[in-house]
Amino acid sequence: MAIEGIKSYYSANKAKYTTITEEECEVIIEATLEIMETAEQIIGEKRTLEILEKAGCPVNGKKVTIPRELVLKAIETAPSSFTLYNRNGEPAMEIGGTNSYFGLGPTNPYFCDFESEERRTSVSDDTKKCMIVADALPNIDFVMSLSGSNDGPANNAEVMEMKMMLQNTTKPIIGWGNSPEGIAEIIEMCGAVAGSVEAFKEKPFVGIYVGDPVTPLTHPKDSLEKLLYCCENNIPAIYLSDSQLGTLTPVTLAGSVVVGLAEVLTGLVISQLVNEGCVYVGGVINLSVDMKPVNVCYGSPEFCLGNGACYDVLHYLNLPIWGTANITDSKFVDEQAAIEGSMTSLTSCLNGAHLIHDAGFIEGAMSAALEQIVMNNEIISYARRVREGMTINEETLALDLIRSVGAGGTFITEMHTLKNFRKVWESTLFDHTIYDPAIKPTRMYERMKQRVANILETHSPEPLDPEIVEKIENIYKASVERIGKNKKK
Amino acid sequence: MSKITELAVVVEEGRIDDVVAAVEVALEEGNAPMDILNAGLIDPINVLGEKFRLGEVYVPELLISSKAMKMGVDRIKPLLAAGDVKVLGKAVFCTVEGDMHDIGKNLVVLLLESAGFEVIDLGMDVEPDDIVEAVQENDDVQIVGMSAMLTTTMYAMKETIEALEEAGLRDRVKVLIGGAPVNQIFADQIGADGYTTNAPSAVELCKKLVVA
Repeated sequence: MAIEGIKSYYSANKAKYTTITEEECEVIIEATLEIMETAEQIIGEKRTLEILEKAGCPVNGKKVTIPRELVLKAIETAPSSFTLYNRNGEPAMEIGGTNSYFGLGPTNPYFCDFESEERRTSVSDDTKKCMIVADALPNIDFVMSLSGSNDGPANNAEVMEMKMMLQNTTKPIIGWGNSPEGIAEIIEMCGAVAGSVEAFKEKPFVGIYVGDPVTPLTHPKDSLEKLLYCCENNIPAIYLSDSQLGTLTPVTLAGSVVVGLAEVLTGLVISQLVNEGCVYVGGVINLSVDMKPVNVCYGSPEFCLGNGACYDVLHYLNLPIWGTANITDSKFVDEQAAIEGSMTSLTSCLNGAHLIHDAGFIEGAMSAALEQIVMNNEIISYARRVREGMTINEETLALDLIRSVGAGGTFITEMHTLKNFRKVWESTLFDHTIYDPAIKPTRMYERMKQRVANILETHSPEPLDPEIVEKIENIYKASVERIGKNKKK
Repeated sequence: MSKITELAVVVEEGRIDDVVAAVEVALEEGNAPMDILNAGLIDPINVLGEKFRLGEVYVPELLISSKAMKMGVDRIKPLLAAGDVKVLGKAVFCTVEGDMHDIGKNLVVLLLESAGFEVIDLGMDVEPDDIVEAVQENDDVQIVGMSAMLTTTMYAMKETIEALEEAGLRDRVKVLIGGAPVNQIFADQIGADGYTTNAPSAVELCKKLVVA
């Protein structure tokens, strides 16, 4: 049952692993279109409401329904892929197809101190250290701030965080915003780095996470203001819905996925009405809920399944996908963090989500740890090797070799081995040694800690030109003044 | 099984479609409305509360049974004398200005109501002045509960406490806060009287606060 007006890219974007079939995607898409057309959504921002009404959406006070033609058109006009560059203007990530890139999580109020291992309020220096660690690790492809800047004003923390990120890594960055004013300052900083704002927009190395809908089916004023701003200014915008099984969405995964997708496709429609052809990245996090205290659970099997179904649907629709993995509810970088990180990394990577954020997070996104980034880097590396799969051909079958080495022989001295053995995945953290009474074995956590210490001691990210740094600092100063003025009002 | 016991089972199992009929059957059997209220509607909720404490029952089961109890109480209320239904305390609840994340607050309100509190729910995105007004208009309010989900909106709690102080109402009420970004340290900083991490423990705290 193909859907009239929608071309299926399910096979073209077929990942190593899919959570649901092409037919099941169609059932979900149909259901989502039906909900958008028949269930009212709250639009908390006046201009967005006017834009939707003008486009033909029935409006009832602050509530709208969205005709399917509008959704189909937006799916058609939104870019299916785009490039994010690094700070030096070189292409770094081709977001589209089944390419998967992993990155850190965004701003969080607490941080697990590297020295004391105690939970404390996060500060901008944490962002700096996270950037240095992420910059050094090969499997962290993009960064987010991974710690709130609580040492500065709260209302422009995003600008402080961008300042720290730009100065401490060349990797692509996903920022966030308190307000359109904050995002404008961020873009001004990016312009300072690229030479001009136009040069930045030509080769963007920063995208903006504009915020979330308030599930179910409510789009708040501040998220929409930021979404409009990014779309109008051609800044890649990310809009992420949070489904919670049994509290904010139906407890059954299919219904939960429909609610999340309805919200994300609503964001898509808005983006394309504001600026047809602008880059829009959507995603849905599906959280199960521990109903004893009613706490959300990251990293559950349902998290993998619900997110996976959304990845499949977005692949079907050929749209850029925001993914989530590596996050844990554990308060420590421990066994739970390892299990949750492994399962979510492996499934999201096999499922071909594009921008997979949240490495480094612990405590359900309330805190983060440098050791967690190192562990997640290792997990991602492992997952990527699994995704790569194996090759079967004459060279890899090596039948002549099997015959010539023969019974009782060894392969370790063969050229074939020499030529190929380095292709076998190698851990940088695991302990595969045989027990030696003379050597005290270490736990992996100690080795991760050592790795972090080594990076902090030896790795210096490529610095920015001092003149650019000065410009960035001045933009931040002006931002702080703006905040001060707003307060006096 | 007496009809009151049958009603208690209906409430405990959260059978909201059957509860009104079960109350009527118990009335037809000739039971006094007060006995139906206590043994048929309130007791099973207390039993569930204990099971919840032991981890045998989860929040959705508690909520659906509370809903059944409320439907039963509504049916029987006209037959009771004024004052027969005891109110444990009165509270004003809201999600603070700028914040539209109200699921946690809603859970606390539902659980408080089922525990016997009367709650004025002001909804979400509520300005400090509106909270002050609600406390002013209801001089029997003992508790003000506020929630925030964002680091950017949690400071509205502080502003609300200040507004209560300015209006001379701060000493009349206990202020309770909750939400993902807040904690006991923040509660102490802004001068709140209480903080809990989840809805069931918020109810326990409210019970303590109204007795104190």
